[in-house]
Amino acid sequence: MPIRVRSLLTAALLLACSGPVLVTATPARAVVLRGRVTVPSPPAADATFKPYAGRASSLPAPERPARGLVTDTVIYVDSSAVEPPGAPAAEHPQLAQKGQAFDPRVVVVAVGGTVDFPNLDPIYHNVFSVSPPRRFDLGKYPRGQSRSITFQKSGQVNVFCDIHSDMAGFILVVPDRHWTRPAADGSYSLPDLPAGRCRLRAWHPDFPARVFEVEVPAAGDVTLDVSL
Amino acid sequence: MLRVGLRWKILLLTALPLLALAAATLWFVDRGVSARSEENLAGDLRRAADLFENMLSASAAELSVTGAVIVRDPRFFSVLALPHGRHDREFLATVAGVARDFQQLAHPDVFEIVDSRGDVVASVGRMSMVAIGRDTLVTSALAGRAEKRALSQRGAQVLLVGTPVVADDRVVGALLLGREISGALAARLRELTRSEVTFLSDRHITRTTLTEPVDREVARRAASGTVLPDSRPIHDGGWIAQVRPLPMAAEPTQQVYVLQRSLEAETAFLRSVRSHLLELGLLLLAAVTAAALFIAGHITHPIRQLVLAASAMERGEWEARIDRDREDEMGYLATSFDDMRRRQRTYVRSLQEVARAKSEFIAVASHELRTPISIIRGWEDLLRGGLVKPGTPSFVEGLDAIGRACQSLEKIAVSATRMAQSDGSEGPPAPSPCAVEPLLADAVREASAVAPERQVSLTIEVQPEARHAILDRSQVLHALDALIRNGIRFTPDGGSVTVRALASGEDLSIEVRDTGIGLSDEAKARLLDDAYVPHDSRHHHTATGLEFNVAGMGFGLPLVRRVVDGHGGRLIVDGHEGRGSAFTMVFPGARSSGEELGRAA
Repeated sequence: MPIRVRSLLTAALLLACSGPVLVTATPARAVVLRGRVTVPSPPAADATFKPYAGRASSLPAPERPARGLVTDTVIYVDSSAVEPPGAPAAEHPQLAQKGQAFDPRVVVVAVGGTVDFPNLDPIYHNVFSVSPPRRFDLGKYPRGQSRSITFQKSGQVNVFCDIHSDMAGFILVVPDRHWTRPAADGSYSLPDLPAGRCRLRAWHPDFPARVFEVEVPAAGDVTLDVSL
Repeated sequence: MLRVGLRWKILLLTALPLLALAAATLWFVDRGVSARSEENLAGDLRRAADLFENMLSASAAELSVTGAVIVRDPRFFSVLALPHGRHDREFLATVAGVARDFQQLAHPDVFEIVDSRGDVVASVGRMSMVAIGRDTLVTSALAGRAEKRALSQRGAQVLLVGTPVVADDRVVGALLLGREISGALAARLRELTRSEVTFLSDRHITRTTLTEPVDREVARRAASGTVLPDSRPIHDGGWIAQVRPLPMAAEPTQQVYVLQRSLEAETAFLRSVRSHLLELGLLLLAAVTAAALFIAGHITHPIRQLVLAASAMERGEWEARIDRDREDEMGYLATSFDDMRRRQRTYVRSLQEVARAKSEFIAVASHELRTPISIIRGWEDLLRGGLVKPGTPSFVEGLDAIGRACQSLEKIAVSATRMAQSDGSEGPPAPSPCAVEPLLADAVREASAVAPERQVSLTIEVQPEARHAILDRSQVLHALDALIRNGIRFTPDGGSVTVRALASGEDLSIEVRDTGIGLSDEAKARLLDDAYVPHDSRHHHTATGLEFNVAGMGFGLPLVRRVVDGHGGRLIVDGHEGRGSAFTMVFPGARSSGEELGRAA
């Protein structure tokens, strides 16, 4: 159940609690959502992590993408009614297979956007997903080849390799272009927010997502610190 | 009594040790095989239990491996990694589809997928688990620990393996694979180990290969005590049972299994062997008894013959049969006995004969004595009465008559002496080298001295090869004397008696042949009969002389036969009525070269 508060301080305090929060922004000249994302200390590296048993011994050990990075956070407007989908971006984001891992670990694409899956490894990979927003199986293909998938439905798409069970990647299909990812220091800014009430979602592959209700004024900045 | 006794003694001596040996063998074999068989059964049960536990842990290991393979499959864990709500239909349908695909791989009885919240999101196996221990397994799996347990639920026991499902380093759920410890497993185990198998949970039978309620009760009883992994096998109701806790059981004291082997079935072979041995033993007993009876009969038969012959001898019967043909000690004994009996019979008969002859002699002699005595007494009366005067012819006649009477008395005295000597107790002959011709001459002289008035010519013929012999001279002399006197006696005056010594190989024959009245076939047959003693004096040729009567008393021939028998020889009787007769004494091996005589000299 949403809780209405009056001050940012109170909001920030309450953000520690889970659940959607309605934020009333102070009036500003440009509507930019700013803030800082903080994540819990990253989970200790799993000492029992073992590369896929079938790995060719001539290859270097698989890379192990870091977990719990703040940069893997995606903050986006989770409201399909905000704005009709714009023209697809000319440049496709890439979810490469490199060093027996997905690189980057998290790819964000707007609905209607296409993701390329180039194989940069000297071995075959078989990228697939069983996630409801988009189920696909790219089949096995060697180094230098690439496949593309266009995503028409928003949501989280877990991407795995059918050959290498330790590989896991994420494609977050967001409703439109209103999304951002924080810098390494956790600061982020989400410009051009349409005025009015909107629902913001902070998503991270390693932590539960959080939802915020934000009243965007016609002009001015809104500040929202996110603690996952 | 002896006959039965000896036979039964031999029977017992031969049969008893064999029977004792057979019985001891039977007992030892039976005891040894029984103990060994039970030991083997207990060992079999222990091995069967080990085998079953190996099978169970292999089954658990197989489930673990299957689980590990399944949860490592990206197609599997990628589904569980999907974000989902508690009743997300699409998610559940997806998971169920994937679960069915993977269930096809190993067909476990339990195939349950639990999500990270612990909710069952798919259960596609034949069974679904509700047992108490299951939650522990799920909790462990969600904490990242794979575990296996034997659980009991709804009268079934299930081997359950929980495996954590990990995706992108997170435990996204758990996979529960289970296989029922089923009747099929029990049947398979029974097939492999020939043991009846019963699984019990909380003292209730869940699965068993036993069909009879009474046998099931044995399994229940066996499982009712405290069950330890190293429990000894239990004997109960014709069964030997091994109880052990079910490996990996969540409650080891409650979940047990019992392996049973029927002593009845297992010892059937033993019992058949035992009965066969018994049959064999009885057969052996019969065979041994028969053999012992035969052996005892065989050994005691000649002894019985001897015993019968001996008791017959006591009654004065001499004809009891004795088998002399055997070539063993018994044959020797029988032959010796027979020879002894024959000598005894001859001796006894000759004694009887001598006694008879002596009494006859005394009768005849007393009669014969009267004549010369009355002659002497008559002349004495005449002389005393002075009726005959010395110098007269009557006086001379009287003296002559007295002289003849004295001569008669003298002859009677000689005969009496000879008679006294013929007592049948010559004893065994003592052969020594002797010259034959003087022997014959002495015999002729003695014989002729008895009847000097008889006109019978006496001739001696000695073959050159028969001049020397080894004989008991004195005995042979008496025998020869008797034969010659018989010859003289049965030969009318003018006839002849020839005494000849003949050599035939190593044998010496002494023949006394006369030209007398001869022998009828009947008389010859009687003479050849050992028992016959001729004492008939009807054939006295001249009944006037005492010597004839004395000679005719018939004690001569028994003497001859005794002497010949004593020398191991035989008496041959020949002759025809009216044409004379011949008596030949054959002494086997008695001929000698004369060197012995020389040495003896």
